[in-house]
Parts: sequence; structure tokens; C-alpha cells
Amino acid sequence: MQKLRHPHFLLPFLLIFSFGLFAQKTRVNLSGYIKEQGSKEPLVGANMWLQKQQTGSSTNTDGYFIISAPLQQKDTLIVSFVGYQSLKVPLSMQRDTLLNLVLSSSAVLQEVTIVADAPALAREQFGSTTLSGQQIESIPALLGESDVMRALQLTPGVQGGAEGSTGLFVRGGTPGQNLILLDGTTIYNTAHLFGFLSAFNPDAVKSVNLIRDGFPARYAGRLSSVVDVTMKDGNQEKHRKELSIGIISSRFFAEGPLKKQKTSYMAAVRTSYLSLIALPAAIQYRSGKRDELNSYWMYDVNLKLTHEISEREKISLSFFNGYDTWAVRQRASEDSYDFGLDWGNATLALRHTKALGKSLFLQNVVNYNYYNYRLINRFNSSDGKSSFINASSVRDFAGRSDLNWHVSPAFSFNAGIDLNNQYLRPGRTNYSGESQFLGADSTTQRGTQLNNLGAYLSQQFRPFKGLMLETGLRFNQYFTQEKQYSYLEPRLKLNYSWRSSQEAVQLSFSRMSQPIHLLSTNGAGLPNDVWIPATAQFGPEQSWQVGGGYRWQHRRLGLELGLEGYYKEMRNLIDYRQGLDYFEVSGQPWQNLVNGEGRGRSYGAEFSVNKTKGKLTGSLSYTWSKTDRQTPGVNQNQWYPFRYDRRHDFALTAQYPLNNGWKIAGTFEYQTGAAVTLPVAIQLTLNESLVPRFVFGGRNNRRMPDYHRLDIGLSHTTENKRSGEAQTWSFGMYNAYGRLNPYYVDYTAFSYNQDGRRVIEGNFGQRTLFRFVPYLTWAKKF
Amino acid sequence: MKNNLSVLGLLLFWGFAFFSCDKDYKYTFDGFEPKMTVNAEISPQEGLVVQVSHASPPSGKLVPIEQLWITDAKVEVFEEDQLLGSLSYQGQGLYKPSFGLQPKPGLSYRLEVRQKTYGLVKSASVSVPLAPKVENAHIALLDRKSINNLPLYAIRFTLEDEKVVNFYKVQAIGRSRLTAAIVQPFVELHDDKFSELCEAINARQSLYLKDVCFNGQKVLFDFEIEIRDVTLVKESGDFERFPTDFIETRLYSVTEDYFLYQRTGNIPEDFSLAFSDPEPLHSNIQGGYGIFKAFNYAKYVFAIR
Repeated sequence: MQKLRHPHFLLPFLLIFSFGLFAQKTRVNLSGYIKEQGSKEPLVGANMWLQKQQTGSSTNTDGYFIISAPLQQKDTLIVSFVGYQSLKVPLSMQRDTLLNLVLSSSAVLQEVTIVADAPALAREQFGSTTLSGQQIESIPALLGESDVMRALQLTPGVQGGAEGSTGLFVRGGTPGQNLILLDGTTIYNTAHLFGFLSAFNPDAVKSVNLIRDGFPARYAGRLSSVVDVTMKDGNQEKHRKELSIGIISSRFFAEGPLKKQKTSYMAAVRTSYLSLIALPAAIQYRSGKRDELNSYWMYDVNLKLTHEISEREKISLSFFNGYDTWAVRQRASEDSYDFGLDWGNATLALRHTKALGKSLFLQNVVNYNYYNYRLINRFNSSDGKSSFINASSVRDFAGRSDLNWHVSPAFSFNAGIDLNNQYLRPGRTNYSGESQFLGADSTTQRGTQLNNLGAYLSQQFRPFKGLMLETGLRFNQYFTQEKQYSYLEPRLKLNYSWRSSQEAVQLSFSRMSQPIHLLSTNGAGLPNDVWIPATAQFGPEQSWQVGGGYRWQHRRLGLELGLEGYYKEMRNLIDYRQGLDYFEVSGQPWQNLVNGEGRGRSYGAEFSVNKTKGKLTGSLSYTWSKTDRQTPGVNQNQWYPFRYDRRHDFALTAQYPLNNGWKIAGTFEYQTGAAVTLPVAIQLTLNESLVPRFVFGGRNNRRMPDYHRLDIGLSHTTENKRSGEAQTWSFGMYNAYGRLNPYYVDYTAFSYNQDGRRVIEGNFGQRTLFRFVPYLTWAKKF
Repeated sequence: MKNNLSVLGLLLFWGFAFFSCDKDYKYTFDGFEPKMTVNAEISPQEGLVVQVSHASPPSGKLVPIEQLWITDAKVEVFEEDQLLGSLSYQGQGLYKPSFGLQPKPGLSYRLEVRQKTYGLVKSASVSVPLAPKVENAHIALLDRKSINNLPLYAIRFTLEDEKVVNFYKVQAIGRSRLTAAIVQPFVELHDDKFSELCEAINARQSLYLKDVCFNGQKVLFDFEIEIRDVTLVKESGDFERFPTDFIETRLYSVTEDYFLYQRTGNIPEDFSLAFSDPEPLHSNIQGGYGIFKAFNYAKYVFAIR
């Protein structure tokens, strides 16, 4: 067992905890829920502001808030949320009070003009980005498929990896270093359609919060980010349905009360119909008129039941299942070949929340998830049948409990415990028939159990107006089959705000660890990525990060500006040995294929501007960053640029409502070309003069051409205000000016006879994936 | 609504027509690092041969091979760090000893190559391995055909592996009585424990193995080869086929450098380049490109007709 180092870390935390316990009761607590008018859907990240006190707070993922004010004083509470009308509530602070408030959508009252009279407190936006489902759907998307992950790629510090993919590379991390939660349950693979769509149906998403710095102590298990996706609870007042038809997929969404103002349901289904388009080909294949058939199908289902036991207590059950399957069938005379690839996630989460008294909030979650990937090759010939199956899976049973205690205005306290039993079966293979000689059957081998125990304490201490010190300490114990690992992870934030919290500076420090590794041949979050547990040889990944920044707001104009910097180091990274492609790694024990003890470092500066008020709304983000890796056995053990190290990353999004229900939106992205390993020479080979070979320099020694792209979208909504029915047509163009962006650079060296002489030549070619991709979607709400 | 659907259908078609719009264009590369390439092989069976050449730019230039041969290099060979002599130029970039050199297993050899443009380039010192200890070898025609519906033969070696790290290469050569041309079929493993646990790689129709899974043991190696006709390509470009009469199977002991050179020669291709990094081609030449390989082998010839 690895021993805990530096136990003196504990002392400052204990001291700070003790300060808060001596606080005097001279103030009252206002607590409650902020909900959407009509649906009674809790609003995540809504902002509260006490006008006279000049202090504020925001709602948590359940729409719950606590704010303190001096006893016996009169004040006005302003409640606001992007896309909703602000609310002013005069209050007289006599005693602790429970407030359940509702906000009206601004769209209900006027043409789509997004307002926010009191934007989020500057200090709460450091190192994180929150997007609502509404914001995600307003961004023009590839093939018209609005996507949570692609919307996050436009935020500071986040890169998108390869063209069109939904992978997230946060501050130099990999997709495997993102803790992706759907209603508190980990999602192990977010890829639909080979990563061009994410597993999150935008109709079902209420909000998403990405944290890239200053990690609260409640989060653990990944190094680089937390992507916390919250599903809608469902309308508590009336039944509502929505149907959307797009080029790739169609969606159906329904919500409503099972028992008015008590129990609600939400159901969202999405399915592709690429296989329907290929139906004539399937009929021809079955009738023997063609010898090859390609088919693809994907779906996802989100279901959620929410029951309010009382004003203060709620229970919800969420279910998610996403599945993709791709098949290729070929026939030649009596022989046939079938190839199949399928993968999917299934999750089930039971969540209970309760506001205890006026100052405590308790949240309990138990969940189950299962991720499975399977590749099947079958060959039937007159000589017999053979098959090869490669599969990988992860199963979690997890539970957690979190308590938030608003002890006093100067002190609040969080504590929690989490347990997770994981069962990983990476790289199971089965060979049968003629292909038995290719390898051993490992399907009968047992997988690996991994048990994780985590506990944390954290507090927010405000010794005087404007200053906040948040300290947290997390203990993680990973019980792998071979070894136990213990980590103490301090989390610190020091924040000072002034001018009614319109300006703030912050410093933060986080230490993180990760007990499982994601082995990827592609770095894009594709289904053949394999999750493997930490072992004695390949220990948990670890990182530490320091960050700092300045934020400024102009509330009247609805402008927010942020400037942040960070430095992050990672160690114990593992990766496939270089030169391996997907087919080489299939069926091989992963231990034979990887390099361990890799290191990473990343630093950069992020600049962002958001405009949330007025007709023209949008955001701008610019990131300057540098990310390097060092892997034993790679690049002569020297540091080299990470594949998605991009010096400059710029994104601009804008939305503007026109007349008569028309709305225009646009996105522009610019990124420095991705780092790529390219040959530096061609050499001849002895006895193989027909096969010249490339000589490669350092890993990622060159850059592909810069990437830039403009997407534009136009939508028209007609609404029947009496019935509430609405119909929207959206159309637009991805890569509107047809930029030939590089997807990859390929190279060939060959030798041939020309005019009686043998010559050699090398050729490089750039491959482009998408150019001028139009889209059209139709949606109806009823 | 009906009108809307027909517009939708039309636009769907339009969308798919443009979906895969893909265009290649030439990518100009300016990162050429010119160095001298030294490729050499040494073995008791085939002696020493050294090829010295210029490297050529990775793209954008069509280079006649004869312009790449270096004809004025001074190539010296050392045995156990003692200079044995200089090699003489034989044409086509090849240098061979004009003195009697019989490479001996267990002894180490190294090269020094001097040329006015590139200066001195040195190889690492390589040791000629002992020939593999093969107790016996068999060949048998299988009663099933290959995937190409051709005769399939099973080859079995009984090998006694030494208790040090060894690297092996398996090769088959088909010969016809009627021509000097040969055919070299792919060699495939027929034993799961080797493909699963050994670092087995296929390169240039040969199979390379590291003895990680059978170190110091007596093992049976089972391979399969598919027998094709020997094809003679004439100067006119026509070709003539001859039946294969003999199969020569060779089991090599090779140096680690040789093994790594072959392993790193497999680079990702096409779409996999979007996600995979190539491994630099292994080299044991200091100051230049190339490889100095040493090997030793046992061979068995079987008449199959």
C-alpha cells in the first residue's frame, strides 16, 4: 500500500474549519428553489443578488440556493437567468425563510431577446462554463445536429481534436481525462456515429457545466475536467411534445406531469435512419443482386421520473441507453464475410435531494452503468466457418452522498463520501473455426475489480466582504487487484471581488488522480478505446494544476470578460506504443502494447467575452496554450508536442433575431494546425530497392495547415400563441466558405521505372473531411 | 405539409450529395534533413555487403536512383574493434570486401564510412548471432486450401532456444527447376501462444519473433505457407509462370537492431494516419540513416513436386 505523504496538509484545513464553527447568528438564511414558470423545471445556475447587501449566490444542479442577509434589514432580491425575465422580490429579513421562485422565459413575453439583469457572479465563473440546453441548440451545428460536446469545444481552454469529432481536449488533457457525468452517473464513451455526434440528446439536456480549473473537492477520478450534464426533470404543469427531423437523425421529446406539481416524466428518443436510406441496398443484397452491404444504426433513449416528496425533498430516477451498430457484409460466390462493430452505454441513477432545515442540503445518488464495445468478424466459406470477436466493457455500481451546510454568511461547509465498484474487462478476444490459430480465447478470463473509496471536506470562508477562501481536502483510496493506492488531494481557491462582485481575481490549486486509463488508438474518443484499470506496473494517473485570473462584468450591457492562466503537470500517463493502429491492438494483451510512466505539461492563457443582453448575443474565446508530452521509449525520451497542442485557438459565436420569427446564428473557429509526425527524408533499403522507406524526425515535428471554418444557420419559427404550438425550420451551412481543412496528411514513398530509369518519389497529400456541408432540420412543438 | 416534405426530401438529397466532398491537394514539405544512408548486412552465409547512398527529400522531387548511390565513400570494417580493411565499390552503391572476410558467430563487427560531403558516419557494433538450434524440420501438405484456394503447407521446426533474449526470423522461398526466379510466400504462425504472447510481426513476407514467450525452452514452431507459382518477369514486361518445385525454409537468428528495424518499418496508412503516429524507423547508424543488420540461419529444402 502506498503511504500518504505530507499529512501536514491537513493542518490549515482543520484551522479554517474551526473558524467557521465560532460564527455568531446575526443573519438569516434565505433558501429555496428557482424554477421555470409553466414547466416548474428547476433552473441550474440561476443567479441571486441582494441589492442593498451587494452579495449574491447561484442555484446548484437541483435549482437550490442559500443566501444570507443581516437580521432585521430590508432588501431586494434580484433573481435572473440567461433567457429569462429577471425577478425582483422585496424582503424583510425577520427569520430564516424558504423561497420557491419562478422565472418566465423571455421568449414568452417578447421576441427572442435574451436578457440577464444580474449575470452570474464573476467569482463563480472562474475555470468553468455553464451552458443551458437553449444555448446549445442556438449554435449552428454540423448537419444540423446540435451537440453538447461540440458547444463546449467553443469555450476557452477546450479543443475539439479531429474535425467534426465530439472529443474534448481540456487544457492539454485527453478525452479519457474528462469526468463526464449524466445526472451524476459516469458516461464512459460519449461517441455516436464514430464521434461525430455525442451521446447527449440536446432535447433532454437542461444544462451542462464544464469545470477545467479550481475543481471542487466533490469531484474526483479524472485529471483534466468535469463535464456535468443535467437532464431535464420534466414539466410539472402540462404535457408537451416535440418532434425534430434532421438529415442524420430524428428526435422525439415528451414531458409532462404524472401528478400535477408532484410527479413529472421526461422522455427523449433519438434515432438515425442511415440504414433506412440503405434499405434498397439491403433488399438487393438479400436477393443476391449485390455483393456488399453497409448499414449503420444508432439510437439513444433518455427517461427521467421526478417526484417531489415535499417542498424540500425530491427523488428522481434517470435512465439512459445509447447504442450504435455498424455492419459490413460482403459475399463472393459461396464465401461471405460479415464485419460488425457495436457499442453502447446504459445508465440508471436514483437521486434523492433534501433541504434540511434552512441551511443544509443533502444529496444522495446511487447509480449503475455499463459500457460495452464489441467487434465481430465472421467468415463463412465452403471449408467452414471462422470468427474473431474483440470486446471490452466497464461496469460500475456507485453511490455517493454530499452535504452542503451553510453554517453562517462567512462560512459554508461541504462534505461527502463516495464508493464505486468497477468491473473492467478490457480486450476480450475469441477466435473460432479456421481462425483459432490466430490467438487464445480470453473471453472466459475474469475481468478486473477496482474499488474506489473517496471522502472529502471543503469549506468556503469569507472573513470580510469580497474575500473568499475555499479549501478542500479529498482522500481517495483505490483498491486495485494488485495494489492499493492512497492519495490526499488538496483543492484551494482564493478569490477577491470588488465593485459589487463585478470584478474579481482568483488563484486556485488542484491535485487530481485517476484510477483508470483510457487506451486510444485515435485520441478521438472512438468506440474501440479501451478502459483499463491501474495496476502495480501502471499506477493511477496524477496531476496538479495552478490557475489564476481576472473577470469583469458590465451588468447593464450584459457583458462578461475573463482572462485566466494555468499551469498543469500530469504523470503516470500511458499510451499505446507508437506505430500501432487499430487492427494491431485488437486481440493483443494491452500490457504488451503500452508505454507507461508518461508525463505531460500544459500551460496557457484564456481570454473570453460573453454578451448575454440585447438583440445581438454571443461569445468570443481565445486560448494561447502549449502542451507537451514525454513518454519513455518515444522520441528518444525527449519532450514533444502533444498531437492537439495548438498555440492559438479562437472561437466566435453570435446569434441575432431578425423580424417575423427569423433568427440568424454564426460560429467562426480558428486553430493553429495540429502537430503531426512527418518524414524528414527518404532512404533506400538494402535488397529492397523497390521499397524506399521514410525517415521520421521527432514525434509531432511538423504542423498541419491552420484550421478555420465558418458555420452559419438561419431559423424560422412560427408560433401559435394560443395553443403554444410552434414550428421551426432551420437550415444552414457547416464550413460555409468551403475551407479545405486538413483532417490528416498522408504520405507515400515509391519507386518505379520512368524512361528506362528507376526513380523514387515521395508524395504528401492532405485529406479533407468536410467541405460545404448544408443542413436542414424541422421541429415541431405541440 | 406535403409540399414541405418534398422540399425536405430534395434538401436531404442535396445534403448527402455534399456530405463527403473531399479534395486532395499537394502538400509542400520543406523539412528535408539530408544525411548519408548506410545499409549493411553481415552473416556467415552471405558475408558482408554495405550499401551507401544519399537520402532524398521526402516529397516533391522525383529522384533517379543512380543519382543516390554514393560511389566515393571509404568504407572500413572492424572485427572486435580491430580494423580488417576497406571495402571496394561494386556499383549500385554497394561495397564488398575484396579481402577474405568470413564473419564468425559471436564476434562483433562495426563499420566506419567516410565521405567528403557528410564526413564520418559510424555504425553500432553488432554481434553475429549463433545459428538457431533446430532439431528437425518437417513440411506437410494440408488437406485444406488457402483463402486464395491455393495449396497450403504446414512447416514445423523444433527449436531449442538459448536462455538469453533471442530474435528470430522465418522465411520461405519457392523455387522452380525451370527458372532462377523465386517466389516468397507469406509465412503465418499456426500457434496461438506465439501470436498472443510473443511480439510477432509480419514484414516483407517474413515473420519476426522475439523469444519473450519461450525463452530458454524447447519449442515447436508451426507455420503455414500458401504455395504460388514462381513468376518470371521478362524485360518486355510480360511474365511467365512456373510451378514451384522446392520450398526452402529458413529460420534465422537476427540481432535486436534487425528486429526493431523491421518492427518500426510498419507505418500507419490512410485513415489511420488521422489518429496514429508512425514510429521512427530504427537505426543503429550514428550521424546518418540506415541499419547494420547481422544474422545467421539454418535452412531446409523440401521437394514438393
